[in-house]
Amino acid sequence: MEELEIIKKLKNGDEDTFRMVVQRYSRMVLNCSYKFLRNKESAEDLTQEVFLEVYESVKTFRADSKLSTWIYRIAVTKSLNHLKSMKRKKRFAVLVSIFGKDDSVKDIPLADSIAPDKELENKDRARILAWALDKLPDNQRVAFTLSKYDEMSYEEISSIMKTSISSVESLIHRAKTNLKKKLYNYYKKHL
Amino acid sequence: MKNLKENQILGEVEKTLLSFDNDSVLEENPFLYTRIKAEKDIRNSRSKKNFALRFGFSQALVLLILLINIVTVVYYYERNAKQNMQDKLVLELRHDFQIEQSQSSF
Repeated sequence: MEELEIIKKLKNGDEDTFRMVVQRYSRMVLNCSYKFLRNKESAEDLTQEVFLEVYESVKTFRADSKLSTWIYRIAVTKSLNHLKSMKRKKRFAVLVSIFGKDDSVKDIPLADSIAPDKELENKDRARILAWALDKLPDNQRVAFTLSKYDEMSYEEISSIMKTSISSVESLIHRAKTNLKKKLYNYYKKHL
Repeated sequence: MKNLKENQILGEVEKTLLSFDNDSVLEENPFLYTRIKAEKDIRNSRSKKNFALRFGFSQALVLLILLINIVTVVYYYERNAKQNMQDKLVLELRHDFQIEQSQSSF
């Protein structure tokens, strides 16, 4: 089925087409969300939210980009919003812990030492990287994360981010430099 | 010694950056569509309920406003009628007892 036809059928509320779209793009959305959230359950919930949004807002989609790009854009926006709301919750948890009611901030950043076990080591690295990514500005973070996503070209990233290819290149370069700096400082302190 | 630590740090930085590439590909939940459909149905029924509630509330509000208007109009006319009767009575009394305007405290 051609993309324009798919969009037309989606706009008419065709259930079979919607099911086909879910089947075709769900893995892509799940893995993209996972790159941002680093948590499988949250990524699965977010994937569900993304397709609900696709179903509800397809009527406003003007087909000026590929359907997959539009779906990616929704996934990225929702992932960033999710991360922001998590941050807010953590900030609140910090406040609660300051006032001595709870000490549930255990999972905020990082391990103090590198664990000897290989798997733990990888988990630690992933957590440290997540912490460093969290400190980047949103656009750098999105560009870097998408660039690490399977075979996504700069052109596709620029289309998702609604910016030029040269901006994407520069954002990725800056993201890498900033990440290296942050990681360097972290390991200097903790090694 | 200092160089060794520097190299260790740089090595860790590289390994950490590479850890992003080592993610395994997640498999989608086979029941995803069913979950989405169930959620869609819940939202639909919720929005229908909300619509019914909003419709009922707006109807009740319109009725209340109409009622307030009717009560106000009735009250206004009754008060006017009372006032007219009082004025008429005063005039009649004035006429019966031949009281001048200046002598009256009404």
